[in-house]
Amino acid sequence: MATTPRSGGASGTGTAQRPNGTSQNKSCQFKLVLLGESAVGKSSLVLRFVKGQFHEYQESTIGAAFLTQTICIEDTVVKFEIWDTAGQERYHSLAPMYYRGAQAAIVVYDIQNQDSFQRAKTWVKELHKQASPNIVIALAGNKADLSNIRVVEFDEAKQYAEENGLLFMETSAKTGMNVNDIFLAIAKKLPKNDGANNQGTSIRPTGTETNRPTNNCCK
Amino acid sequence: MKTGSNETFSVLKMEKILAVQSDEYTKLQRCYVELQRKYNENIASSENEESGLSSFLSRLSLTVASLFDKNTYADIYIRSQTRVFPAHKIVLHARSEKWGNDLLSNIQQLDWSDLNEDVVLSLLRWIYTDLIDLQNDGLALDLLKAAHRFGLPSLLGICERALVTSVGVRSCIRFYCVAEEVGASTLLEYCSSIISTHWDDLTTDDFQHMSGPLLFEMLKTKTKHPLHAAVRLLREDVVSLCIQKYGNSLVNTFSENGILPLEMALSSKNAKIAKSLVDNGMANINAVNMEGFSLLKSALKNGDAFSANFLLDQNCLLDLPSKPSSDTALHIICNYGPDNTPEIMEVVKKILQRQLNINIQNIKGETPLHIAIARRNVEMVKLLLKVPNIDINLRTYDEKCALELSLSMGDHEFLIASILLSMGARTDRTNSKTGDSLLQVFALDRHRGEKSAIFLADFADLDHINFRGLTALHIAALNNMPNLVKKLIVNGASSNLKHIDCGLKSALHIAVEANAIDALEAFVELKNKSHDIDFNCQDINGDSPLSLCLSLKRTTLVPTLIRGGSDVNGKNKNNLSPLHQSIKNEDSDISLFLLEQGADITALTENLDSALDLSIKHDLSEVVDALCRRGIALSINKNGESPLWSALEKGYEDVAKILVRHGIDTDCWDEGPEGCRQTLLHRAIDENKESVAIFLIQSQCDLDSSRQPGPNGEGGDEAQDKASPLHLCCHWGQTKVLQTLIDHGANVNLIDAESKSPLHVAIESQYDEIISILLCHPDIDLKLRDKSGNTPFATALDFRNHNAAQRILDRFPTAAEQMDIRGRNFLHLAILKDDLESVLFLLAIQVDVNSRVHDANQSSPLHLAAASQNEMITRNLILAGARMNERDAVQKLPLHIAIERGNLPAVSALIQNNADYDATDADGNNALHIAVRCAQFFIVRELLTESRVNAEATNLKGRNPLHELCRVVEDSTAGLICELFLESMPKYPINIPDMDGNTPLLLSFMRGQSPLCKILVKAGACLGTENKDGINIFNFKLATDQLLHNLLDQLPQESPWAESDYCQHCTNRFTITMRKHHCRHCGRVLCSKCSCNDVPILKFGINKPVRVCTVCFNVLQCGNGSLS
Repeated sequence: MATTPRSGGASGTGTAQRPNGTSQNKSCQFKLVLLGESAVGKSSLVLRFVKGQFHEYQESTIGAAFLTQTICIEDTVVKFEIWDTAGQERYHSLAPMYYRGAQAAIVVYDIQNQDSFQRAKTWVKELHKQASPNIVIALAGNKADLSNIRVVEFDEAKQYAEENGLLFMETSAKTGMNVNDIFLAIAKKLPKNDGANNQGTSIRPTGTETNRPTNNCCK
Repeated sequence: MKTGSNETFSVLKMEKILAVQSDEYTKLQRCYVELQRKYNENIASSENEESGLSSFLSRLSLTVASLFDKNTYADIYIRSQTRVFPAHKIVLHARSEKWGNDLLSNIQQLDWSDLNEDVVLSLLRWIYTDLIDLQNDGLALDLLKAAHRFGLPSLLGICERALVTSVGVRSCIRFYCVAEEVGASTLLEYCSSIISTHWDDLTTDDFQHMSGPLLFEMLKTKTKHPLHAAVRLLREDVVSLCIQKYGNSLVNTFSENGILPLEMALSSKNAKIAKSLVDNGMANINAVNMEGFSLLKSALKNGDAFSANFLLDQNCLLDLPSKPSSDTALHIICNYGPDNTPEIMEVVKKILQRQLNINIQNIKGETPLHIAIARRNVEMVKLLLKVPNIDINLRTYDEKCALELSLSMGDHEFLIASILLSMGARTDRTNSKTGDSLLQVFALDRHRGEKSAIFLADFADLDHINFRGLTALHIAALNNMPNLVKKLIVNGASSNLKHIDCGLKSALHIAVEANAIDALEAFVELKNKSHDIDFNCQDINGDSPLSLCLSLKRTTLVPTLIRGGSDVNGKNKNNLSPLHQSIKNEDSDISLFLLEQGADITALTENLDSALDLSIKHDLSEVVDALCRRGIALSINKNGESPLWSALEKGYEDVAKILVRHGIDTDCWDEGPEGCRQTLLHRAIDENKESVAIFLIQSQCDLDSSRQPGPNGEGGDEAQDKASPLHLCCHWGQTKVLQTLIDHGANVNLIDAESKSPLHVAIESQYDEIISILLCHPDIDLKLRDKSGNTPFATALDFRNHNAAQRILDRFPTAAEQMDIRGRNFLHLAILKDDLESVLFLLAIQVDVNSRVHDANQSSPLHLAAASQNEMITRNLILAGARMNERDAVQKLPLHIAIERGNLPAVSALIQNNADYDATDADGNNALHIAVRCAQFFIVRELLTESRVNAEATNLKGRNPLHELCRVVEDSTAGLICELFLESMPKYPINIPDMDGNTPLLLSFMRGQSPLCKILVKAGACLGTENKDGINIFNFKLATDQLLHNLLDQLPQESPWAESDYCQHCTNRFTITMRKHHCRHCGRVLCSKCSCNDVPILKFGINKPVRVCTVCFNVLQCGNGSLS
């Protein structure tokens, strides 16, 4: 089972600070959901982003996995609460539960698999219809390291993304290509004011007095 | 005088002849051609020089040519056979000297009427024109003669060359004669060479035109054996010449081919030459040729009656030895066969008149009579039989007598045989190797012997037994000879005669063994005519003909044997009746036939198998049907098996259907596992015999009964589990059988001993297809609970068969809302089992995520999840809408429970999702209180760093979390948590008393928690504080004072001053006169008496003496002493 990594938190021997102290930096957290057909590499993307690892043989996800990762953008500490959903059809009815209230979504397809791209389009339509109106959607063409046997053309996906107001990158969880970049792009696009943060049901209020310097902020 | 065209023609002819001539002749021809060419050149040259002379010669030649057959200037006439030709003497004279003035001057006509008309015409044309056509050999030959006659050498040469060109093998002799006659030496030599080359190819006709002396001379030169050649050419005159010249020296000489002249003459049927050779040449009529045969025998071998008669007339010898066959002349003649010529018969008569021994045997032991009979030479046979001393009983060396031979040769009338028998031929002699009598020999000949045997049956011993123990009747039966069988029986042969050498088999046994249907029919026919034939006799193996027949599977013979009187119920040595045997042979037709003949259906085999058992075993459905219709019992067999089971087990459905149609028990309760009682259906399902089970169901067996205990309660689990056939199918996954059961009305709601329905069992066994079938049944009861209280839906969740659960919900929407006896629904149970997949399934079907357990605790699903080790269950419940701030019956939130369980992931999840961390339980404790009290360091840290929990909140007893920490937490964990508090909240109020006045330091000191006390003191805890009972760390009695002294010794700074109305050492009340003083080290408030010591506190940086209490004085002094 997936467990919550502690890489974003303070270590036991570090200096602990209450969140009610004076804050030198803004911090905010966002719910991000990964969607896509089974075996396109959603879990591998998240594993690469959070732990910097890649497993050649990844087991199927049951329901969804939950991981967190914190990144720094300018003077803001952004914490992603990532729901890595299962792609099997039998879990499809649970998808609204995962993307409801999410500020961001990454829809993943496999560049070797045309069906997965079609499925990605279906997810985009569903998100536009049922998810938060301001959700930031990124389209990820994974397994870009296998571009010599690609089926989905880069230009086709890029055009689709532009037509639908999506971020678009081809990624490779195996090589790490564009993995951090796509999360960074999402973070940059997300609104960081308090008003926007309060729209989500899972967002904790962050006061300006928060003073929580961390040692592993940008790992 | 020759014209150009004539020269050209001559050249062409010479070129043709050149190809076949010798080198010398070729050279001569080349000279001739060259000469002709030179001559032509001379003529041409001459013409150039003397044109007048050439012109004259030409005109003269043309003039002469024009006189042919003209009367112009004619002065003589030539008479042919039909006409008279005008001619000119001068022209004739120019051609030949024979026509000179002496001959022609006084005559007016030449008579050439003896010449052929064509010859005359050609001859005259040549005389006048020098032109001639010699394409015809005959014409050329005649012209050759004419040229010779009239002295025309040039014409002779032309004809000779033409003939040389066309001479052949057939014509060379004739050409040779003419050439010799006219002196054409070139042609003669050429023909001679051809004759030499093809000498052996030349025939009598070729030499018929040659004179005797000439031929004689030629033969002398051409062959070493001129006499042989003369005989071959049938030239009697030349033969005489040879005899005259050479005497008899050549007469008895063999040629290169090993032939005598007399032999050649006889072969040519030339009596004159033969006679001449014998009479004049003294030829040896008894000579033996190179093959070892006398001339007589050689002639007879060739069927040459002429030669034979000639030799016999010359009184040649008849007894000369002949190798290798040792045949006499009569042997040879008898070998000719049935078509004898009168000439041959004449030869025979002459031989017989010599009164020789006609019983001589050749190398094979054959007499002439034997050979004549074998060759069907009837005429010779009759003739030989008339000889007085003929021995008709002589046998050849392979033991064949004349009678046998005569019968073998296919004499349909048996004429010769009859004669032989009338003359006393014996029939009782036997073959020395086989012991067969003559009758048996013919009986053994299955192709042609029957008629002969029938004929012979009137004369022979009918019951003779050969070395194999067989009589003629046995053999007739063996070879399927019905007519011979009848003849033998009618003539008195014993049909029941048996011999040990053939296994005590009767003729009937033999007939059966040989599958001789015709012979058997004959036996039956004779039986019906009251002949004594036993159809039930037994051989050495105890087989009757019928049982033997069935053993050998000679099925076509069975009806015949029955008609003959075979016992349809006779047993063989294996106690098998014919019906048993036919069934074992898998022969339905014969079995049915036997049943119709009254076979005993109740008979048992040696192994106690009934006919029904055997029929089922061999899948003979028709026989089974027939047996059933005859009322055979359908009870269990000797092995305790139902006949129906026996049939079905082997896949014989046709047989099974017949049994069912005749009312066999399709249930057949019988002993099952460990002695329980079960039906065939139970057994079929248990043994995984799907087709058997389906058949039984379709045959309307008991569909719903479970197995039962035995008569005395025997049986294990099977006897007690009350599992219906449907249960068994669900347990073993037999989908087709289950479908069949349902189609035929099986009760889908029966419960077993565990109160499980078939659906329960199917879900537990995880057979999705079976589950689907059951759920489609209109009568399925989805509310049934087993003894564990589980409905099928509950069972599906237990076994994580979510597909089945979904289908049950489709059929029974409220299934998911059921609760167990402890008030828990499926979501509660799934959470309690940490079953994430089931939780997800239930969330997907949108169960109520806030339903509470119906017990005293009233836990919500999130309360249960807070205790779960699967973090994702908590997170998914939150996402699904579970309310995080619900309280259970004891006012606990899920967060509280998570903290109590030490479930950090759940705590994190709840905090991240904004759970109310400041909410209090029934005792007023918030999350931090609970975490501290439970010594959950990591959860404390999570609360302090990730939430804004109120760290100073007090519960109903006025205690903040630090109080709780100091009061209850053990070991070093408390110290770690305390340090965490102070690190994250440097200004945390560590000296606040609770409702009893206890400070954290006092609480920890009273429990003797040294590490915790040190941390608090270091943080600035007030050492002199006392609670409402007046207890402080100085007067609280521990086992030793070590802790207090250690705290004072390590005191890093001046302690905050305590406040009290009494001296904290002597407890005297302060007054106007007794003033308050504070120890500068521990901060206690003291009277002057109790603080009368003044010492410097160097560790505090105080160098001048200050007031300290007695206790601190002692500690400081000890410390100062150590330093000094």
